[in-house]
Amino acid sequence: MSKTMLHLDISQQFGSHNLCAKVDVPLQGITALQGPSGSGKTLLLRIISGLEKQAGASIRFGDTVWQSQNKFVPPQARRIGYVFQDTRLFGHLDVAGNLGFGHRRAGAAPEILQVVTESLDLGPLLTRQIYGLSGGEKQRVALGRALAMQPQLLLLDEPLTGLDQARKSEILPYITAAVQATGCPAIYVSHERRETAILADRIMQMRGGKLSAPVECETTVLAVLGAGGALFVDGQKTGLVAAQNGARTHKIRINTDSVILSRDNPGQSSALLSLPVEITSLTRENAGDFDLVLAGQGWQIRLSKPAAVCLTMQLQAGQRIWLNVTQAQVLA
Amino acid sequence: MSVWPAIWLSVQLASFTVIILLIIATPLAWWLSRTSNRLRPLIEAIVALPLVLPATVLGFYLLVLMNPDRMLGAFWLRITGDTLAFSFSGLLLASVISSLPFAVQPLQTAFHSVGKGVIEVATTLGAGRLDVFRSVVIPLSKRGFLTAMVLSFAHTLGEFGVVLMVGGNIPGRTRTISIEVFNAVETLDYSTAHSLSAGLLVFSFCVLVFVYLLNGKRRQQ
Repeated sequence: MSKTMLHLDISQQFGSHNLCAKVDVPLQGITALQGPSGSGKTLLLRIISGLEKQAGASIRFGDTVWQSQNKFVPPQARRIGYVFQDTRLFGHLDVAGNLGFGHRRAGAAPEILQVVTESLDLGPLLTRQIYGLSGGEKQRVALGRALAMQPQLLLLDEPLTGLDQARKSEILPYITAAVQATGCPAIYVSHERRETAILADRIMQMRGGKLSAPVECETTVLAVLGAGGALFVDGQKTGLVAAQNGARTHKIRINTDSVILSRDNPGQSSALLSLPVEITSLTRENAGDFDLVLAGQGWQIRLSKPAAVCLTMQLQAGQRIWLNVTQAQVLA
Repeated sequence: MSVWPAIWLSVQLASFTVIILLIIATPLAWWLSRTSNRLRPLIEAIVALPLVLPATVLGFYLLVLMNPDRMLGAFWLRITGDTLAFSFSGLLLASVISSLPFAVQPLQTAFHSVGKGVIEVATTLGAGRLDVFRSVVIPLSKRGFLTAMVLSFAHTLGEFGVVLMVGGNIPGRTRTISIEVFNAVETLDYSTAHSLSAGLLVFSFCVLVFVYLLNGKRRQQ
Protein backbone atom coordinates (compact mmCIF):
# COMPACT_ATOMS: atom_id res chain seq x y z
CA MET A 1 0.00 0.00 0.00
CA SER A 2 1.43 3.34 -0.94
CA LYS A 3 1.03 5.83 1.83
CA THR A 4 -0.56 9.11 1.00
CA MET A 5 0.95 12.18 2.54
CA LEU A 6 -0.10 15.32 4.28
CA HIS A 7 1.96 17.99 2.56
CA LEU A 8 2.70 21.02 4.69
CA ASP A 9 4.37 24.17 3.45
CA ILE A 10 3.88 26.81 6.09
CA SER A 11 6.03 29.79 6.82
CA GLN A 12 4.35 32.20 9.15
CA GLN A 13 5.37 34.88 11.59
CA PHE A 14 3.66 34.42 14.95
CA GLY A 15 4.46 36.13 18.21
CA SER A 16 8.18 36.58 18.53
CA HIS A 17 9.21 33.74 16.26
CA ASN A 18 8.51 32.15 12.95
CA LEU A 19 6.54 28.98 12.35
CA CYS A 20 8.24 27.01 9.65
CA ALA A 21 6.88 23.64 8.59
CA LYS A 22 7.88 22.19 5.25
CA VAL A 23 7.35 18.47 5.62
CA ASP A 24 5.39 15.53 4.27
CA VAL A 25 3.67 13.54 6.98
CA PRO A 26 2.74 9.95 6.07
CA LEU A 27 -0.99 9.40 6.59
CA GLN A 28 -0.74 6.13 8.41
CA GLY A 29 -0.67 5.24 12.07
CA ILE A 30 0.21 7.75 14.74
CA THR A 31 2.67 10.56 14.14
CA ALA A 32 3.86 12.17 17.35
CA LEU A 33 4.55 15.89 17.38
CA GLN A 34 6.94 16.70 20.19
CA GLY A 35 8.40 19.91 21.44
CA PRO A 36 8.49 22.18 24.47
CA SER A 37 5.41 24.24 25.28
CA GLY A 38 5.19 27.44 23.31
CA SER A 39 7.07 26.00 20.37
CA GLY A 40 4.05 26.28 18.08
CA LYS A 41 2.65 22.74 18.14
CA THR A 42 -0.93 23.79 18.80
CA LEU A 43 -0.73 26.57 16.22
CA LEU A 44 0.39 24.02 13.64
CA LEU A 45 -2.61 21.78 14.38
CA ARG A 46 -4.92 24.79 14.16
CA ILE A 47 -3.51 25.72 10.77
CA ILE A 48 -3.85 22.14 9.52
CA SER A 49 -7.48 22.03 10.69
CA GLY A 50 -8.29 25.38 9.11
CA LEU A 51 -9.30 26.97 12.41
CA GLU A 52 -6.41 29.37 11.92
CA LYS A 53 -6.45 30.88 8.48
CA GLN A 54 -2.89 31.90 7.83
CA ALA A 55 -2.05 33.45 4.53
CA GLY A 56 0.94 31.93 2.84
CA ALA A 57 0.26 28.41 4.07
CA SER A 58 -0.04 25.57 1.64
CA ILE A 59 -1.65 22.36 2.82
CA ARG A 60 -2.48 19.32 0.76
CA PHE A 61 -4.12 16.17 2.06
CA GLY A 62 -3.12 13.47 -0.41
CA ASP A 63 -4.41 14.88 -3.71
CA THR A 64 -6.92 17.23 -2.07
CA VAL A 65 -5.83 20.84 -1.68
CA TRP A 66 -6.97 22.16 1.70
CA GLN A 67 -5.23 25.47 1.43
CA SER A 68 -3.25 27.24 -1.25
CA GLN A 69 -2.85 30.78 -2.43
CA ASN A 70 -6.26 30.90 -4.00
CA LYS A 71 -8.12 28.17 -2.18
CA PHE A 72 -9.23 27.63 1.39
CA VAL A 73 -11.35 24.67 2.43
CA PRO A 74 -13.20 25.67 5.64
CA PRO A 75 -12.66 23.47 8.71
CA GLN A 76 -16.20 22.04 8.55
CA ALA A 77 -15.44 20.57 5.13
CA ARG A 78 -12.07 19.00 5.99
CA ARG A 79 -13.45 16.13 8.02
CA ILE A 80 -10.75 16.30 10.65
CA GLY A 81 -11.33 14.81 14.09
CA TYR A 82 -9.78 17.38 16.41
CA VAL A 83 -9.42 16.39 20.06
CA PHE A 84 -8.60 19.42 22.17
CA GLN A 85 -6.68 19.58 25.42
CA ASP A 86 -9.75 20.89 27.24
CA THR A 87 -12.21 18.28 25.82
CA ARG A 88 -14.78 20.95 24.76
CA LEU A 89 -17.74 18.62 25.11
CA PHE A 90 -21.24 19.96 24.48
CA GLY A 91 -22.83 20.51 27.89
CA HIS A 92 -26.35 20.65 26.46
CA LEU A 93 -26.13 17.13 25.04
CA ASP A 94 -25.64 13.78 26.75
CA VAL A 95 -22.76 11.46 25.83
CA ALA A 96 -24.69 9.85 22.96
CA GLY A 97 -25.62 13.31 21.66
CA ASN A 98 -21.98 14.35 21.72
CA LEU A 99 -20.91 11.20 19.85
CA GLY A 100 -23.67 11.71 17.28
CA PHE A 101 -22.91 15.38 16.56
CA GLY A 102 -20.15 14.89 14.02
CA HIS A 103 -21.28 11.40 13.08
CA ARG A 104 -24.62 12.66 11.79
CA ARG A 105 -23.20 15.64 9.96
CA ALA A 106 -20.52 13.57 8.25
CA GLY A 107 -23.07 10.94 7.23
CA ALA A 108 -20.66 8.36 8.62
CA ALA A 109 -21.43 4.63 8.46
CA PRO A 110 -23.76 3.52 11.29
CA GLU A 111 -21.37 0.71 12.31
CA ILE A 112 -18.66 3.19 13.20
CA LEU A 113 -20.60 4.34 16.26
CA GLN A 114 -20.55 0.81 17.57
CA VAL A 115 -16.84 0.33 16.84
CA VAL A 116 -16.01 3.58 18.64
CA THR A 117 -18.30 2.85 21.57
CA GLU A 118 -16.74 -0.57 22.00
CA SER A 119 -13.10 0.35 21.54
CA LEU A 120 -13.38 3.25 23.99
CA ASP A 121 -15.71 1.37 26.33
CA LEU A 122 -18.32 4.12 26.19
CA GLY A 123 -21.40 1.87 26.36
CA PRO A 124 -22.14 2.48 30.07
CA LEU A 125 -21.77 6.26 29.61
CA LEU A 126 -24.09 6.80 26.63
CA THR A 127 -27.06 8.18 28.57
CA ARG A 128 -24.97 10.16 31.06
CA GLN A 129 -24.83 13.96 31.09
CA ILE A 130 -21.44 15.60 30.50
CA TYR A 131 -21.69 17.40 33.80
CA GLY A 132 -20.57 14.76 36.29
CA LEU A 133 -18.22 12.73 34.09
CA SER A 134 -14.69 12.27 35.42
CA GLY A 135 -11.70 13.78 33.61
CA GLY A 136 -10.73 10.46 32.04
CA GLU A 137 -14.30 9.75 30.94
CA LYS A 138 -14.54 13.20 29.35
CA GLN A 139 -11.37 12.58 27.37
CA ARG A 140 -12.69 9.24 26.15
CA VAL A 141 -15.95 10.86 25.05
CA ALA A 142 -14.05 13.67 23.30
CA LEU A 143 -11.93 11.09 21.47
CA GLY A 144 -15.04 9.07 20.61
CA ARG A 145 -16.84 12.14 19.30
CA ALA A 146 -13.96 12.88 16.94
CA LEU A 147 -13.66 9.26 15.77
CA ALA A 148 -17.41 8.79 15.29
CA MET A 149 -17.39 11.22 12.37
CA GLN A 150 -15.05 8.81 10.55
CA PRO A 151 -12.42 11.50 10.13
CA GLN A 152 -9.81 11.45 7.39
CA LEU A 153 -7.28 12.65 9.92
CA LEU A 154 -7.22 12.78 13.70
CA LEU A 155 -5.50 15.66 15.47
CA LEU A 156 -4.84 15.03 19.16
CA ASP A 157 -3.64 18.04 21.10
CA GLU A 158 -2.25 16.77 24.40
CA PRO A 159 -5.46 14.88 25.16
CA LEU A 160 -4.07 13.51 28.42
CA THR A 161 -3.18 16.83 30.01
CA GLY A 162 -4.56 17.20 33.49
CA LEU A 163 -4.91 13.48 34.13
CA ASP A 164 -2.81 11.69 36.70
CA GLN A 165 -0.35 8.98 35.72
CA ALA A 166 -2.75 6.15 36.50
CA ARG A 167 -5.49 7.68 34.28
CA LYS A 168 -2.99 8.26 31.50
CA SER A 169 -1.85 4.65 31.49
CA GLU A 170 -5.50 3.67 31.46
CA ILE A 171 -6.42 5.80 28.44
CA LEU A 172 -3.32 5.30 26.28
CA PRO A 173 -4.28 1.75 25.24
CA TYR A 174 -7.75 3.05 24.30
CA ILE A 175 -6.21 5.58 21.95
CA THR A 176 -4.06 2.93 20.24
CA ALA A 177 -6.99 0.54 20.02
CA ALA A 178 -9.36 3.17 18.65
CA VAL A 179 -6.90 4.40 16.06
CA GLN A 180 -6.24 0.83 14.96
CA ALA A 181 -9.93 -0.09 14.93
CA THR A 182 -10.87 2.86 12.73
CA GLY A 183 -7.67 2.92 10.67
CA CYS A 184 -7.57 6.70 10.87
CA PRO A 185 -4.15 8.40 10.70
CA ALA A 186 -3.40 10.63 13.66
CA ILE A 187 -1.09 13.45 14.66
CA TYR A 188 -0.53 13.33 18.38
CA VAL A 189 0.86 16.39 20.15
CA SER A 190 2.55 15.89 23.46
CA HIS A 191 5.50 17.18 25.35
CA GLU A 192 5.67 13.99 27.37
CA ARG A 193 8.01 11.46 25.81
CA ARG A 194 6.48 8.65 27.82
CA GLU A 195 3.17 9.04 26.01
CA THR A 196 4.57 9.36 22.54
CA ALA A 197 7.06 6.54 23.05
CA ILE A 198 4.18 4.16 23.65
CA LEU A 199 1.92 5.42 20.88
CA ALA A 200 3.95 6.75 18.04
CA ASP A 201 4.87 5.16 14.75
CA ARG A 202 7.02 8.17 13.94
CA ILE A 203 8.09 11.35 15.64
CA MET A 204 8.35 14.95 14.47
CA GLN A 205 10.12 17.54 16.57
CA MET A 206 9.08 21.16 16.87
CA ARG A 207 11.77 23.49 18.19
CA GLY A 208 11.30 27.24 18.29
CA GLY A 209 8.66 27.10 15.59
CA LYS A 210 10.67 24.91 13.22
CA LEU A 211 9.28 21.49 12.39
CA SER A 212 11.67 18.65 11.62
CA ALA A 213 10.82 15.90 9.17
CA PRO A 214 9.13 12.87 10.72
CA VAL A 215 11.44 10.05 11.79
CA GLU A 216 10.03 6.56 11.75
CA CYS A 217 10.44 4.84 15.09
CA GLU A 218 10.04 1.20 14.34
CA THR A 219 9.16 0.02 17.75
CA THR A 220 7.64 -2.95 16.03
CA VAL A 221 10.13 -5.75 15.67
CA LEU A 222 9.62 -8.76 13.47
CA ALA A 223 10.03 -11.87 15.52
CA VAL A 224 9.56 -15.57 14.91
CA LEU A 225 7.70 -17.34 17.60
CA GLY A 226 8.95 -20.90 17.80
CA ALA A 227 7.73 -23.98 19.58
CA GLY A 228 7.22 -23.63 23.31
CA GLY A 229 7.01 -19.85 23.04
CA ALA A 230 10.64 -19.34 22.13
CA LEU A 231 11.12 -16.03 20.41
CA PHE A 232 13.61 -15.41 17.63
CA VAL A 233 14.53 -11.90 16.54
CA ASP A 234 17.09 -11.30 13.83
CA GLY A 235 17.58 -15.06 13.73
CA GLN A 236 18.63 -15.18 17.33
CA LYS A 237 16.78 -16.85 20.16
CA THR A 238 15.99 -13.99 22.43
CA GLY A 239 13.51 -15.04 25.04
CA LEU A 240 10.23 -16.70 25.82
CA VAL A 241 6.70 -15.48 25.58
CA ALA A 242 3.53 -17.16 26.64
CA ALA A 243 1.79 -17.90 23.38
CA GLN A 244 -0.01 -20.89 21.94
CA ASN A 245 0.63 -20.09 18.30
CA GLY A 246 2.95 -22.25 16.31
CA ALA A 247 6.05 -21.05 14.53
CA ARG A 248 5.25 -17.98 12.49
CA THR A 249 6.39 -14.41 12.11
CA HIS A 250 4.91 -11.90 14.48
CA LYS A 251 5.12 -8.18 14.85
CA ILE A 252 6.06 -7.19 18.32
CA ARG A 253 5.47 -3.75 19.68
CA ILE A 254 8.01 -2.94 22.34
CA ASN A 255 6.96 -0.82 25.23
CA THR A 256 9.86 1.63 25.26
CA ASP A 257 9.23 2.36 28.91
CA SER A 258 10.18 -1.16 29.81
CA VAL A 259 13.55 -1.09 28.08
CA ILE A 260 16.66 -1.77 30.14
CA LEU A 261 20.02 -1.19 28.52
CA SER A 262 23.11 -3.21 29.32
CA ARG A 263 26.65 -3.00 28.00
CA ASP A 264 27.04 -6.79 27.86
CA ASN A 265 24.85 -9.76 26.99
CA PRO A 266 22.74 -10.25 30.08
CA GLY A 267 22.57 -14.01 29.52
CA GLN A 268 19.78 -15.73 31.39
CA SER A 269 17.45 -13.06 32.69
CA SER A 270 13.82 -12.36 33.28
CA ALA A 271 13.76 -10.08 30.23
CA LEU A 272 11.27 -10.97 27.54
CA LEU A 273 13.69 -10.05 24.80
CA SER A 274 17.39 -9.29 24.80
CA LEU A 275 18.65 -7.92 21.51
CA PRO A 276 22.04 -6.64 20.39
CA VAL A 277 21.70 -3.14 18.99
CA GLU A 278 23.89 -0.31 17.83
CA ILE A 279 23.59 3.24 19.11
CA THR A 280 23.10 5.25 15.95
CA SER A 281 22.53 8.56 17.64
CA LEU A 282 22.84 9.99 21.11
CA THR A 283 21.71 13.55 21.63
CA ARG A 284 20.84 15.70 24.56
CA GLU A 285 18.74 18.82 24.71
CA ASN A 286 19.90 21.36 27.29
CA ALA A 287 20.35 19.55 30.59
CA GLY A 288 17.54 17.04 30.02
CA ASP A 289 17.44 13.35 29.26
CA PHE A 290 19.43 11.81 26.44
CA ASP A 291 17.61 10.88 23.23
CA LEU A 292 18.86 7.58 21.88
CA VAL A 293 18.24 5.92 18.57
CA LEU A 294 19.12 2.22 18.64
CA ALA A 295 19.23 0.12 15.50
CA GLY A 296 18.82 -3.62 15.05
CA GLN A 297 18.72 -5.36 11.68
CA GLY A 298 16.23 -3.34 9.63
CA TRP A 299 14.49 -1.70 12.55
CA GLN A 300 15.22 1.03 15.00
CA ILE A 301 13.90 2.23 18.29
CA ARG A 302 13.91 5.67 19.81
CA LEU A 303 13.93 6.23 23.53
CA SER A 304 15.15 8.59 26.15
CA LYS A 305 17.14 7.74 29.26
CA PRO A 306 18.16 9.89 32.19
CA ALA A 307 21.50 11.64 31.77
CA ALA A 308 22.96 9.98 34.87
CA VAL A 309 22.34 6.52 33.38
CA CYS A 310 23.94 7.36 30.04
CA LEU A 311 26.96 9.01 31.64
CA THR A 312 27.56 6.17 34.08
CA MET A 313 27.29 3.60 31.29
CA GLN A 314 29.58 5.78 29.15
CA LEU A 315 27.31 5.39 26.16
CA GLN A 316 28.57 6.70 22.83
CA ALA A 317 27.26 6.78 19.32
CA GLY A 318 28.38 3.76 17.31
CA GLN A 319 28.64 1.57 20.38
CA ARG A 320 27.06 -1.89 20.41
CA ILE A 321 24.97 -2.60 23.47
CA TRP A 322 22.12 -4.88 24.52
CA LEU A 323 18.47 -3.92 24.62
CA ASN A 324 16.44 -5.81 27.21
CA VAL A 325 12.67 -5.60 27.07
CA THR A 326 10.40 -6.60 29.92
CA GLN A 327 7.10 -5.67 28.27
CA ALA A 328 6.03 -6.15 24.70
CA GLN A 329 2.83 -6.66 22.86
CA VAL A 330 2.54 -9.36 20.24
CA LEU A 331 0.64 -7.88 17.32
CA ALA A 332 -0.79 -9.85 14.44
CA MET B 1 -63.93 52.68 34.30
CA SER B 2 -62.63 49.52 32.72
CA VAL B 3 -58.93 48.80 33.02
CA TRP B 4 -58.99 45.83 30.66
CA PRO B 5 -58.25 47.73 27.43
CA ALA B 6 -55.11 49.13 29.08
CA ILE B 7 -54.00 45.70 30.31
CA TRP B 8 -54.69 44.09 26.94
CA LEU B 9 -52.81 46.88 25.16
CA SER B 10 -49.82 46.57 27.51
CA VAL B 11 -49.62 42.79 27.06
CA GLN B 12 -49.89 43.14 23.28
CA LEU B 13 -47.23 45.84 23.22
CA ALA B 14 -44.87 43.85 25.45
CA SER B 15 -45.34 40.64 23.42
CA PHE B 16 -44.66 42.30 20.09
CA THR B 17 -41.70 44.13 21.60
CA VAL B 18 -40.20 40.86 22.80
CA ILE B 19 -40.63 39.22 19.39
CA ILE B 20 -39.07 42.14 17.54
CA LEU B 21 -36.28 42.43 20.10
CA LEU B 22 -35.37 38.76 19.72
CA ILE B 23 -35.01 39.25 15.99
CA ILE B 24 -32.88 42.39 16.38
CA ALA B 25 -30.97 41.70 19.58
CA THR B 26 -29.84 38.14 18.74
CA PRO B 27 -27.57 39.02 15.81
CA LEU B 28 -26.53 42.30 17.46
CA ALA B 29 -25.56 40.59 20.73
CA TRP B 30 -23.81 37.82 18.79
CA TRP B 31 -21.78 40.36 16.85
CA LEU B 32 -20.94 42.30 20.02
CA SER B 33 -19.82 39.12 21.81
CA ARG B 34 -17.52 38.08 18.95
CA THR B 35 -16.16 41.16 17.29
CA SER B 36 -12.90 42.88 17.96
CA ASN B 37 -14.04 45.81 15.83
CA ARG B 38 -12.99 49.21 17.18
CA LEU B 39 -16.56 50.43 16.87
CA ARG B 40 -17.79 47.96 19.48
CA PRO B 41 -17.63 50.28 22.54
CA LEU B 42 -19.54 52.88 20.52
CA ILE B 43 -22.31 50.43 19.62
CA GLU B 44 -22.43 49.12 23.18
CA ALA B 45 -22.83 52.66 24.46
CA ILE B 46 -25.67 53.36 22.03
CA VAL B 47 -27.43 50.14 23.07
CA ALA B 48 -27.05 51.03 26.76
CA LEU B 49 -28.22 54.65 26.37
CA PRO B 50 -31.88 53.96 27.27
CA LEU B 51 -30.65 52.68 30.66
CA VAL B 52 -29.33 56.07 31.72
CA LEU B 53 -31.24 58.54 29.56
CA PRO B 54 -34.42 60.03 31.10
CA ALA B 55 -37.37 58.42 29.32
CA THR B 56 -38.65 61.89 28.49
CA VAL B 57 -35.46 62.72 26.59
CA LEU B 58 -35.58 59.48 24.62
CA GLY B 59 -39.30 60.02 24.02
CA PHE B 60 -38.72 63.58 22.89
CA TYR B 61 -36.14 62.62 20.29
CA LEU B 62 -38.29 59.76 19.04
CA LEU B 63 -41.25 62.10 18.76
CA VAL B 64 -39.16 64.51 16.76
CA LEU B 65 -38.05 61.71 14.45
CA MET B 66 -41.63 60.53 14.00
CA ASN B 67 -42.81 63.94 12.91
CA PRO B 68 -44.36 63.49 9.44
CA ASP B 69 -42.09 66.31 8.19
CA ARG B 70 -38.99 64.33 9.08
CA MET B 71 -37.55 61.47 7.12
CA LEU B 72 -38.71 58.57 9.31
CA GLY B 73 -42.16 60.03 9.93
CA ALA B 74 -42.64 60.93 6.27
CA PHE B 75 -41.48 57.51 5.12
CA TRP B 76 -43.92 55.79 7.47
CA LEU B 77 -46.77 58.04 6.39
CA ARG B 78 -46.04 57.24 2.75
CA ILE B 79 -46.04 53.45 3.14
CA THR B 80 -48.84 53.07 5.70
CA GLY B 81 -50.90 56.22 5.29
CA ASP B 82 -50.79 56.70 9.04
CA THR B 83 -48.63 58.86 11.28
CA LEU B 84 -46.09 57.08 13.44
CA ALA B 85 -46.47 59.31 16.47
CA PHE B 86 -49.49 58.60 18.71
CA SER B 87 -50.03 55.19 17.07
CA PHE B 88 -49.48 51.62 18.25
CA SER B 89 -46.66 51.20 15.70
CA GLY B 90 -44.90 54.28 17.04
CA LEU B 91 -45.30 52.97 20.56
CA LEU B 92 -43.87 49.62 19.50
CA LEU B 93 -40.84 51.27 17.90
CA ALA B 94 -40.24 53.34 21.03
CA SER B 95 -40.58 50.27 23.28
CA VAL B 96 -38.15 48.27 21.18
CA ILE B 97 -35.55 51.02 21.46
CA SER B 98 -36.03 51.65 25.17
CA SER B 99 -35.96 47.92 26.03
CA LEU B 100 -33.05 47.11 23.71
CA PRO B 101 -30.39 46.95 26.47
CA PHE B 102 -32.56 44.56 28.50
CA ALA B 103 -32.48 42.10 25.61
CA VAL B 104 -28.98 42.70 24.26
CA GLN B 105 -27.02 42.59 27.50
CA PRO B 106 -28.17 39.18 28.85
CA LEU B 107 -27.77 37.69 25.38
CA GLN B 108 -24.30 39.16 24.98
CA THR B 109 -23.25 37.72 28.35
CA ALA B 110 -24.71 34.33 27.44
CA PHE B 111 -23.06 34.24 24.01
CA HIS B 112 -19.78 35.31 25.54
CA SER B 113 -19.87 32.48 28.06
CA VAL B 114 -20.51 29.91 25.31
CA GLY B 115 -16.84 30.43 24.48
CA LYS B 116 -14.82 30.03 21.33
CA GLY B 117 -13.87 26.45 22.23
CA VAL B 118 -17.13 24.61 21.64
CA ILE B 119 -17.81 26.68 18.53
CA GLU B 120 -14.48 25.61 17.07
CA VAL B 121 -15.05 21.97 17.93
CA ALA B 122 -18.52 22.07 16.37
CA THR B 123 -16.95 23.52 13.23
CA THR B 124 -14.38 20.74 13.01
CA LEU B 125 -17.24 18.25 13.47
CA GLY B 126 -18.73 19.49 10.23
CA ALA B 127 -21.18 22.18 11.30
CA GLY B 128 -21.36 25.37 9.23
CA ARG B 129 -21.91 28.79 10.80
CA LEU B 130 -25.71 28.75 10.98
CA ASP B 131 -25.70 25.13 12.08
CA VAL B 132 -23.26 25.95 14.91
CA PHE B 133 -25.45 28.83 16.01
CA ARG B 134 -28.63 26.79 15.92
CA SER B 135 -27.37 23.55 17.43
CA VAL B 136 -24.72 24.77 19.87
CA VAL B 137 -24.94 28.48 20.66
CA ILE B 138 -28.71 28.76 21.11
CA PRO B 139 -29.11 25.68 23.34
CA LEU B 140 -26.13 26.73 25.46
CA SER B 141 -27.57 30.27 25.79
CA LYS B 142 -31.08 29.14 26.73
CA ARG B 143 -30.96 30.98 30.06
CA GLY B 144 -29.72 34.16 28.41
CA PHE B 145 -32.66 34.02 25.99
CA LEU B 146 -35.14 33.48 28.84
CA THR B 147 -33.65 36.32 30.85
CA ALA B 148 -33.68 38.64 27.83
CA MET B 149 -37.32 37.82 27.02
CA VAL B 150 -38.58 38.13 30.57
CA LEU B 151 -36.70 41.35 31.32
CA SER B 152 -37.67 43.13 28.12
CA PHE B 153 -41.29 42.02 28.54
CA ALA B 154 -41.40 43.34 32.09
CA HIS B 155 -39.58 46.52 31.23
CA THR B 156 -42.00 47.28 28.39
CA LEU B 157 -44.94 46.75 30.75
CA GLY B 158 -43.42 49.21 33.20
CA GLU B 159 -42.39 51.86 30.68
CA PHE B 160 -44.02 55.23 31.32
CA GLY B 161 -42.10 58.26 30.11
CA VAL B 162 -41.39 57.11 26.56
CA VAL B 163 -44.94 55.86 26.12
CA LEU B 164 -46.40 59.13 27.32
CA MET B 165 -44.16 61.20 25.06
CA VAL B 166 -44.56 59.12 21.91
CA GLY B 167 -47.99 57.61 22.35
CA GLY B 168 -49.84 60.32 24.17
CA ASN B 169 -52.80 59.10 26.15
CA ILE B 170 -55.31 57.68 23.72
CA PRO B 171 -57.61 55.04 25.29
CA GLY B 172 -57.32 51.60 23.65
CA ARG B 173 -54.64 52.85 21.28
CA THR B 174 -51.72 54.08 23.33
CA ARG B 175 -52.98 54.10 26.91
CA THR B 176 -50.97 51.36 28.67
CA ILE B 177 -51.21 50.19 32.31
CA SER B 178 -48.62 52.61 33.63
CA ILE B 179 -50.42 55.52 31.99
CA GLU B 180 -53.76 54.28 33.23
CA VAL B 181 -52.33 54.42 36.77
CA PHE B 182 -51.27 58.02 36.13
CA ASN B 183 -54.76 58.89 34.83
CA ALA B 184 -56.46 57.19 37.76
CA VAL B 185 -54.39 59.14 40.26
CA GLU B 186 -55.03 62.41 38.38
CA THR B 187 -58.78 61.82 38.59
CA LEU B 188 -58.50 60.69 42.26
CA ASP B 189 -59.72 57.16 41.33
CA TYR B 190 -57.48 55.52 43.93
CA SER B 191 -59.10 52.08 43.85
CA THR B 192 -58.23 51.62 40.15
CA ALA B 193 -54.74 52.99 40.78
CA HIS B 194 -54.33 50.54 43.66
CA SER B 195 -55.38 47.42 41.81
CA LEU B 196 -53.32 48.22 38.71
CA SER B 197 -50.24 49.19 40.72
CA ALA B 198 -50.45 46.12 42.93
CA GLY B 199 -50.79 43.91 39.86
CA LEU B 200 -47.74 45.45 38.21
CA LEU B 201 -45.76 45.30 41.47
CA VAL B 202 -46.45 41.60 42.02
CA PHE B 203 -45.72 40.79 38.37
CA SER B 204 -42.42 42.70 38.34
CA PHE B 205 -41.35 41.10 41.61
CA CYS B 206 -42.08 37.61 40.29
CA VAL B 207 -40.16 38.36 37.11
CA LEU B 208 -37.09 39.48 39.04
CA VAL B 209 -37.22 36.46 41.36
CA PHE B 210 -37.43 34.25 38.27
CA VAL B 211 -34.42 35.96 36.66
CA TYR B 212 -32.29 35.72 39.79
CA LEU B 213 -33.23 32.08 40.30
CA LEU B 214 -32.20 31.39 36.72
CA ASN B 215 -28.86 33.14 37.12
CA GLY B 216 -28.23 31.46 40.46
CA LYS B 217 -28.59 28.10 38.79
CA ARG B 218 -26.07 29.05 36.16
CA ARG B 219 -23.57 30.10 38.79
CA GLN B 220 -23.93 26.75 40.54
CA GLN B 221 -23.13 24.75 37.42
